Amino acid sequence: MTEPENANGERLRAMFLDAAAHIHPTRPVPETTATSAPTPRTAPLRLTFGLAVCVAAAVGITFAVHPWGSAGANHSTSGTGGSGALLTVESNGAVDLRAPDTGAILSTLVGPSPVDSRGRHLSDPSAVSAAHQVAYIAYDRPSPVIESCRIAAGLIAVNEILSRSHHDDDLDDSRWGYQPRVQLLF
Amino acid sequence: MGPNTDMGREAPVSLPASDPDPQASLGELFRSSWDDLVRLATFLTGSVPTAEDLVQDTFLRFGAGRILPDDPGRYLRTSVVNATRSYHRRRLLERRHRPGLPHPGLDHPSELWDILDRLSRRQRTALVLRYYLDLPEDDIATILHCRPATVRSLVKRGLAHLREELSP
Repeated sequence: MTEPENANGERLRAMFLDAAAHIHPTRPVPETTATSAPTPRTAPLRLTFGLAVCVAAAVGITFAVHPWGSAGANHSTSGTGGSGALLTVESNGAVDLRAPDTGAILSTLVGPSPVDSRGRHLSDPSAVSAAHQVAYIAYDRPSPVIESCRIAAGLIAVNEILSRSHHDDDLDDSRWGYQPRVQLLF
Repeated sequence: MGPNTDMGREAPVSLPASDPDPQASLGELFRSSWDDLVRLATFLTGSVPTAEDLVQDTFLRFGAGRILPDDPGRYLRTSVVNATRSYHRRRLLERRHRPGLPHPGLDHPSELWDILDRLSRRQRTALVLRYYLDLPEDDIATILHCRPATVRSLVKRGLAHLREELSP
């Protein structure tokens, strides 16, 4: 910067200082007691740490729950802590209770090619569900219909049958209350 | 706290980078920097009431912010300059649609205001930051979002533009 420019700069600086002395804010400084303070930079770190703890807890809970259909899931239904079972319907119309872990058939509630109370062959099962120890199976043929089937003595009874079947090869379904039948709902 | 007169590089608005009590530091910053920021905004806008509005808006945004900057004084200074830039843009738009809009008057008109009004907005800002706040070219470049060479050019052209008025 040249000498004249420096001189002009100094002159301008002096003018600024002189003018600044005559500038007086007309308003009082507003109170800041009601103003919320900005969060320090350390706050995001604490927030991140808190989120990480929450995520870790969520992951732990996720892996701690029982698998679907396991003992934990059926505990409230059975009330005695049975091993549980999956209710399945085969393409041939058979309704089975299967082990949730291996898929092995624990018992067959309805055999293949079931018939309804009027003697019609039911086929093309499309859905199966259960509530209050009654299984409900939807068949599309000969006409769309939902059949119900009692799960004899409930899942516990089925497990008891299974456990006793290890010791009794001559398992009699009627003896253990295992009486699969199909009845028309409508 | 007034502007530095010893050619130092420290800006009038300053606060310790780390303060254990953000609420107290915000209040202290507000009280200590209010006058200086209003003067800065006045030099950039030419109006004390307008400068007070801009500085108050800046503090409101600053207080509502969720992050406390490492250098609050520097942050506020930059915010005020940006606020005046927005103000000038708004004024330009208003004058375009209302040519007769009066310019905000000054309580203490002086030669300096006439000089500053002859400069472009960027030249005016560069000269104010350079010769009122004594900021280094790098800091001015950061505030103006340009290179230090551009700052040197703005200052040089601004001084050249004011050569006659500034000559004794």
